[in-house]
Parts: sequence; C-alpha cells; structure tokens
Amino acid sequence: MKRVEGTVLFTQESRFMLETDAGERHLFILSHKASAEAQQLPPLQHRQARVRVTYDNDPAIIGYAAHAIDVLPEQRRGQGARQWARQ
Amino acid sequence: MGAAMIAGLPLSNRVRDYPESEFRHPLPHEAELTAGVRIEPGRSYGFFTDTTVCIGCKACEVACKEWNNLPADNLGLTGDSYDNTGHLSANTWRHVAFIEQMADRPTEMRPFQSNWLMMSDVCKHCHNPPCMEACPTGALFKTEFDTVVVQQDICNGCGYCVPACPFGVVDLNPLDGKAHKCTLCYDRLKGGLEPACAKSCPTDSIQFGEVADLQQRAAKRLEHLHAVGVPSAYLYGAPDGPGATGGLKYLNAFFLLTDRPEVYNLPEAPTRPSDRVAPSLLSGLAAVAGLAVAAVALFSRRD
Amino acid sequence: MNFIPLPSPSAARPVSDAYDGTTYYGRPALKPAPFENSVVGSYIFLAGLCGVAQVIATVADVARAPRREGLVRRGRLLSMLAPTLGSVLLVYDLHTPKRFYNMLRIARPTSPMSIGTWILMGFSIFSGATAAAQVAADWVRPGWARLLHGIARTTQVPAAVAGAGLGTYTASLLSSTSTPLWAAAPKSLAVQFGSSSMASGAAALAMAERHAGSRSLARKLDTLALAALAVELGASVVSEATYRTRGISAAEDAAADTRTIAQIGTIAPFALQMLAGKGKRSAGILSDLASLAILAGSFCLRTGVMEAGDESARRPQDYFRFAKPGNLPK
Ligand code: SF4
Ligand code: SF4
Repeated sequence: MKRVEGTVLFTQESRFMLETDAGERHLFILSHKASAEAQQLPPLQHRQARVRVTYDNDPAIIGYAAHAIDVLPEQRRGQGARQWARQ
Repeated sequence: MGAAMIAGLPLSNRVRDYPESEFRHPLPHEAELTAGVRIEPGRSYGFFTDTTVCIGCKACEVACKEWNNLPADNLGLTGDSYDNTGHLSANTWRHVAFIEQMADRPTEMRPFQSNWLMMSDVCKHCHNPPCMEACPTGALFKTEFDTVVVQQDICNGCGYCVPACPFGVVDLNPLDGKAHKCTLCYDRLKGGLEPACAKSCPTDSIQFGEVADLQQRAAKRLEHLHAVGVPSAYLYGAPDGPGATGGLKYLNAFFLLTDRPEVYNLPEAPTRPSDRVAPSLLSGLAAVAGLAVAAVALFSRRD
Repeated sequence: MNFIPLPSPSAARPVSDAYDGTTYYGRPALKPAPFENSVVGSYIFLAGLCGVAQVIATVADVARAPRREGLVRRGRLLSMLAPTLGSVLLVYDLHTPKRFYNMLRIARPTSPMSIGTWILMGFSIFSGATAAAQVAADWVRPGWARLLHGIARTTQVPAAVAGAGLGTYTASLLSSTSTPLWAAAPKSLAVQFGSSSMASGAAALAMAERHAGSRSLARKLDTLALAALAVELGASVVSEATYRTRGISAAEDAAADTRTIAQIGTIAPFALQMLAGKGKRSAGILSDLASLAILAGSFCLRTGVMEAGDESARRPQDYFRFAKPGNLPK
C-alpha cells in the first residue's frame, strides 16, 4: 500500500480531494475497511488539515481507495512545502 | 420574490442588485437569481428535464461530478453514439443518453434535435420512493426539500435499495460499501443554491424549481409543442402518467419526452414494490399454516 | 397554414400494451441486487429450515405426538442455526458489516428486509429461550425439568409463529423489488418458498428420526415433506405460467443447472419414497436419499431464483415487457 501526504481541500460524503505537497490533486474514496468514517471528513476540510493517506489504486475509477488517514501535527504545516522548495 | 421580465427573461428583480459578474462571497438565496425560486425547507423541489432542448453537451454530468467530487468511472469507450457514460452509477448521478434516429429521410426529420434524441437522466426523486421504502436502516430519507437522499453515516451497504428502484438509479459503491445516488444537491439547497446540473445547463433543458410550478411550466411547454407540430411530446413522471404508475404517484424529477419511454431506457409503467409485501407475506404464511395443520393431523394419529 | 389538432393529453401518452422490443443499446434498465447469491441463498435456505424446524417441533409438542421427545428436542436445537450461522451470513453480505446494528434503528413495514430483521430477532429470542430451557431440562433434576419444560412449552409458541415468518418472508424480500422475475409472481413464489421451507425442515428432522430409530415419526415427517413438495410443485407451475405469459421466462436459462437440481429435488423424492416403501432392506438409505434430495433442491430453488432474477434485471427487454400498463395491479 502506498502513502501520500497533503492537505484535505474538500470533502463530499466519503470522498475527499487531497492536494499533495507537490501541488497535485487526487481524489480519494474512504474504503469501508478504513476505521475512519465519512462523517469525520468535513472537520478535516474546515481545518484544511494536513494528513497522511494510506491508499491503493482502483482500476475502475480515476481516483484512489483510502485505507487510513493520519492527521499530521499542525506545526508541520508548510514544512513539506519548504522541503519541496529546497529540493 | 418579485419576478419581472428583464431583457425578455422572467428573472428576479434582485438581479439588478448585482451588476458585477464575479463574486467573492456567496449570494444569499442565489437560486432566486439563477432559477427564479427561493429555496425554503418544507416545500417540494425537483427537476423538469425538457429533452426537446437538450443538446447533449454533458455540462450537467460535469457540473455534478465537480460539485460532488465524484471520480470518473465507466472508463473507456462504449461505441454507442456519444454516450460513453453508459449508465447512472454510484459515481455518476447525471447521465446523458444519446439516441440516433437516422433512418428517416432528411425531409422527414423532426424540427428539433436533428433526429438525435438526447436526454439527461437522473434520480427521479419519486414521490413514493421505492428505494426509501425498502431501506431497512432508514439511511434513505425524505429531506425537508421533499427530495430523497442516502445518509452516508447510516447506510450499512445492505444493497436492498438497488433492486428496489424501478429505474435502476441507486447503486452501491463496493469501495466505500455505501449506496449512492443524486442528492438533488442537498448541500446546495441548504445554502440557497440551485443544483449544479440545472445551473450549468446552457439550454435550460434541466429546470429546477418547486414541483407544482414545474408541472405547470411543463404543461404549458407541452401545449406549445403540440401546437407547433410535435404531437408525440408527452410528460414522463407527471401525476399518474407514464413513469409514475403503480402507486409512485408522481416523480419530483420528471421529463418531457418525444418517443416511447423504452427508447430512453425508461419503463413505461413501473410499479411500487412495497405493494407486493402484504400479498407475498400472507400467501407464504398461508402455505406454511396449511402444512402445519396437515402436520397436526399426521402427528395426532395414533399408530 | 395547417395546424395539427391538439391531441388530448391521454392521446399523447404512449399507451400501448404491446412492447416492440426497443432497448437503449441493449443496456440494462435496472440494476441487479448486489447480493452474493451463495451467501444470501444459504441464509434463505437456513432461515426456512430453522423456522420450520421450530414449527414442526411445536406442532408435535402441542399435538402430543406419540414418542415426540426426541423430535421436539432436535427441532428446537436445529432451529438455533438461524440465529447463529444465519445471522453471520447476513452480516457478511453487508458491504459495511461493522454497521450491521443500524438494521435495528427502525422498523419499516414496507421493507421486507426490515420486517425480516425483526422476525429474526423475535425468532432468536424465543427459539433461544426454548432451546436453552430444553438443554437445561436435559441436565437438571426431574422437579426442575418439569418447570423448564413448562417454560419451553410457552416460549415455543411465539417461536413457531416467528419461525413461520422466517420461512416465508424471504420470498417477499425478493418480490418487493423491481427485479422482473421476482416481482412477477409474488404470491406463488411465496408459496414455493414457504412449502420448500416446510419440506426441508421435515426432511432434515425425518432423517434424524430415522437414525434415532423412531420409524413411525420418521414416516410421518416423510409424508409431511412430500405433501409440502406437492404444494411447491403446484406453486412452481403457477409461477412458470406467469413468467411465460409475461414474456420474462428466458432469464431462467441463466440458472439452468441450479434449476435442474431444484427440479430433481422436488420430483425425485416421490420416486425414492415409493421405492423405499417397496424394498425392505434398502428402505432407510432410499428415504435418506429422498431427504437429502429435498434439502439440496430447497437450497437450489433459492439460489436458482436469485440468479435468474439477477439475469432478468440485466435484460432490458424483460423489464420493459413486464413494466407495461397491462401488467399493473388492478
Ligand atoms: S428513482 Fe430510484 S433512487 Fe431515485 S428516488 Fe426513485 S426509487 Fe429512489
Ligand atoms: S444499502 Fe444503505 S441506503 Fe440502501 S437499503 Fe441498505 S442501508 Fe438503505
């Protein structure tokens, strides 16, 4: 399973749009196996929270299946972008 | 809301309050400006989809995907006219059907749609919704806008709503294990906004409004079409008409069609599945009861 | 200029009882149920078997059948398969199993799935109490045992009523959908399911009686099973005729193999039991074979109906033929 970090831009039902530190946007669907529930997503959107998503490809859609969402500490916000800038 | 004819269009007087064309803030009761209707809880809202003016641009499909953050599915080409969307699904809540009717000679072609029938299909938000009547968890419910919505925090993915729908609309997403379908933009309605598909429709083939209003508008449009020589036009989903038979009563999202319903992949006379609950249960119980009586007779025989 | 006369609204409606075969690129107009047929089919089979096992045990007890103790005990214990294994199968088939308890949020009389949930709940409680009293009575001193038997004799009545529901509601679960093959013949399908439940319960208990050496009860149960099969055969003829007149029987070919087993399971037992009545030596084996055939047939009836229904939902022409004004309930 793959991992990606980024900001939750917006959510709808069990779907959310993540903007990675590189500025790419990807659509994720929260898998039914994930411990997180869809109703926990809107607060992440309101905070524009930085999260780490553990995910898998899904060949049937242009999007990914999110299996776990870890909220990253707030102070790390922007750090990713800085790292990106340094590279 | 004061409706007035402004530049030939029946628009709200409020349009004069907003001369700019770009806004940095949400407008209160925006639907008044875009659809001429103020959205208030406790009233019935729906769609009137007039297929005679549909140009098959799929703006509605795109707007729906954008607003609802739905992923592209049905990847690939179908080979069936310009319809690569295929069907409504858990991730596709508007579907534009393309029917090519090119057999006629050009002189016999209809004066609209150039013998292409195009129709933007959607959840009908039935007045007596079979999906909701089937849902054992209460996840499917009628909102304060008289629309039918799946509550995602309740649905447990039993899938019973799927075969219940007489129009093949609601669908399970195996990925998140929940049922999904058009919500008639429940979140937008709460914010006073017209649903995304209707707002984006460039020809007003999809009209949003109060159901009673829409039904009147549709009746007028029908009269007009009949008068100008389209006798085949009829309403699908109007009270007790085709599409609203068998106790469905009427569909909040109804259509103006010009060919048989089957041409658009719609059933002419759908039924209300819950009407079959009692007859079925009673017949089954009668059979078991009858056999139980036979068992009593057998068991009480001495040997 | 010539004006076309305004057609009356009803004339503008496409009222036609004949369906001309039009489809939209042959695409399905319905979505088949997303059930896993082997799982839900197994549940329907178990629900029928267990529900009826409770009915038979109760009837035998109430009718004071001679030498009924073994039959009553086995019927009560067999019925426990539905609350246990059956519930597991149901939860397994959910697409979000961890939310199974949401089924208990509401009771909805328009939804056989909700009705069934509550029937299963009631059945589990009363059958569970009956079975528990039975098991306990087998272990304690006679004085206590009489009290426990009294308890079981009371709780078995609501358990049997719920059991009858459990054996039949599954037909209305299928019929109360828009799937043409399930919706076309709700009454006769329910009779098929109900009598097939009765046949399977009687067959299973007959087999157990035979092996426990209680010949006369086994013979009575065999007779009951055959009577149930006869009812099922009659109802299936009605269903088939309905499918044919509605023009939707072609979908049944999708489940041809399963249907064949189901048909063998309803017809072969008659022949086997007749032979068993003649031959003295192999009578037991033949009767057991008949019971097994009934059980297999009962299982395949359910999975076969489910498969064929799914196929009918995928066939737009079947649905359109079915969804015609002529077929509307009067
Ligand atoms: S069209 Fe289907 S999904 Fe939509 S409200 Fe009616 S039954 Fe439910
Ligand atoms: S899948 Fe969800 S919405 Fe559909 S019937 Fe089951 S619980 Fe209700």
